[in-house]
Amino acid sequence: MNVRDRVFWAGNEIIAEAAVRAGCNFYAGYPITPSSEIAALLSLRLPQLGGVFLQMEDEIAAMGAVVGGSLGGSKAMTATSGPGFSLKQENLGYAIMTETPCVVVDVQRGGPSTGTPTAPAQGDIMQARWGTHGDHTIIALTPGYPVEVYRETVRAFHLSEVYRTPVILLIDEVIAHTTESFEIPTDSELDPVQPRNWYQEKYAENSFRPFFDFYQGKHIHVTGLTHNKAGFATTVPEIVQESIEHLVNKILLKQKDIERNESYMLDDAEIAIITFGSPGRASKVAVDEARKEGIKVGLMRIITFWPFPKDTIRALVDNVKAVIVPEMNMGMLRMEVERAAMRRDVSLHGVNRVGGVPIEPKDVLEKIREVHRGL
Amino acid sequence: MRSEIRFAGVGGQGNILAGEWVALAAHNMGLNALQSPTYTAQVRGGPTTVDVLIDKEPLGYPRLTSIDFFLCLAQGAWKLFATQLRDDTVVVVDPNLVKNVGQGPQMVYPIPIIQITKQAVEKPVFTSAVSLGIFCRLTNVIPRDNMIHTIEQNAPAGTVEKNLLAFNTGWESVEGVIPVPRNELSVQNA
Repeated sequence: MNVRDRVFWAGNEIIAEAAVRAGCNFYAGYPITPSSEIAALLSLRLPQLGGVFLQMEDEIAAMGAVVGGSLGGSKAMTATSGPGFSLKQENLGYAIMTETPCVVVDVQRGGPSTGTPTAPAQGDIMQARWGTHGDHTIIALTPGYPVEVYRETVRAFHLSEVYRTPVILLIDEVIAHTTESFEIPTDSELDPVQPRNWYQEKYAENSFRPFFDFYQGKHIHVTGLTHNKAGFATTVPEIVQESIEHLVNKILLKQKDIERNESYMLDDAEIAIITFGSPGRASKVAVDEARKEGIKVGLMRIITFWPFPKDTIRALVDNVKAVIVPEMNMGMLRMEVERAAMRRDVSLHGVNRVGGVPIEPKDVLEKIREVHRGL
Repeated sequence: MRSEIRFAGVGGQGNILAGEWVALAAHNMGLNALQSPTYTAQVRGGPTTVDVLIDKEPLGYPRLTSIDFFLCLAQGAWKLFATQLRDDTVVVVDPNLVKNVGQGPQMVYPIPIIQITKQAVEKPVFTSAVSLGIFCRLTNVIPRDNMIHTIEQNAPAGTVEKNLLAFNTGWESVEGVIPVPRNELSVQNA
């Protein structure tokens, strides 16, 4: 695609269409608000293109089917929301352990439990990182604008193939259900869309077990048990150690390649706003307003949430007098910022909304003014 | 120029559809448009609203902060969504359904939207198109012809004629309606 088409799509439609663009040919899921439109659209699109759409009996089975679809050679994805994401955690761990590429979309809603199904929240970022048991790293992307949702969905498939791992696309209900004008990116504006054997040649070192799928004429063995490089179960301490270090380091050591943020007016900023997802849009408006009042404030909007951009944030915190973290949870990002800063004297302030309404520009602006008065 | 529009009511009235069509009409005119619905876990009967934002410039915050036009078809929705109103916001309510509009400086157009929909098109399902007719007549955001074109392109098969009838009913219904100061409307209904 070399010419930009102008469209009017909601976030969930964008994800479905971008997944198709990225070569997704296998979807298994179980409908859950506010993600259901992704399944609805792919149930039409995938069969048209010769792909597979499965509505499974529950969220757990859906994640199992995604792992199976990917092991069979498909580019597989599922979409869910907080409660379903909880149920997927065991099979998500299986995908991590077996190094099975797949994309899991979590359209976050208010929780815990059934919570507020139709209201936005950002309370699943820690579940994305630590929801499944055992040592591992994960890649989670948090786009904020329509064109970025498209781009990051395509990138999610690319990264999952490169690093042989599930990639979580974490969006919130505001993004999922806002229908908006935007231009579809051209091929050159997107990450590569390639078949699996392309990755097999370039990135074989990212797979601890042999980098093969079923039905390729190879004898392969896939297990959730800790395994050796042949793919067979082992308890030899040195090999177990090496395999887990592999799972963690194949992503952590490539942090710089995976990291993506938006920086806005940070060069001379005394106050930095650090946020992600839809609160980034409110924050940008607030930065513009505060700048008109002569307040030196800038914005860092995180697009690759995991692995966490800790070095970038540490450098940023060292260069400003105060940090404001708007988020639709009670302070999960703020805690990570505090850890990344590695300082006890950071002037760190939250704007936290969990009532099911988005953070507004005025919420952020009021906090900027308050923090500025105290500088 | 930035325009902020909100249709509110209860699920099933077609308010979200009205917002979708306004935003789509603006998108098709080459403007930047977005529509963002809010609804409850109930399929029907829960308070709903749709925010529509239209601008020549790129859109920032995707919800409304300073509303130009607000149409409300349910008391419960009024309570939740009559926010971000300016002094000069154009407000429309169905006086049979929204009786208490509280205090405020706005002028309110009382138009019995559900009743006139039933009279003209027989089914209340066409309320959304009636609302669009009222919206187009009272604002200069979407020209009448563009709105009609969007309805023709997007109405489900077999319903175009009735939707256009409903749109014209809404357009005509504004004729002769004198807006009432919000404070006085509350007193009348007290």
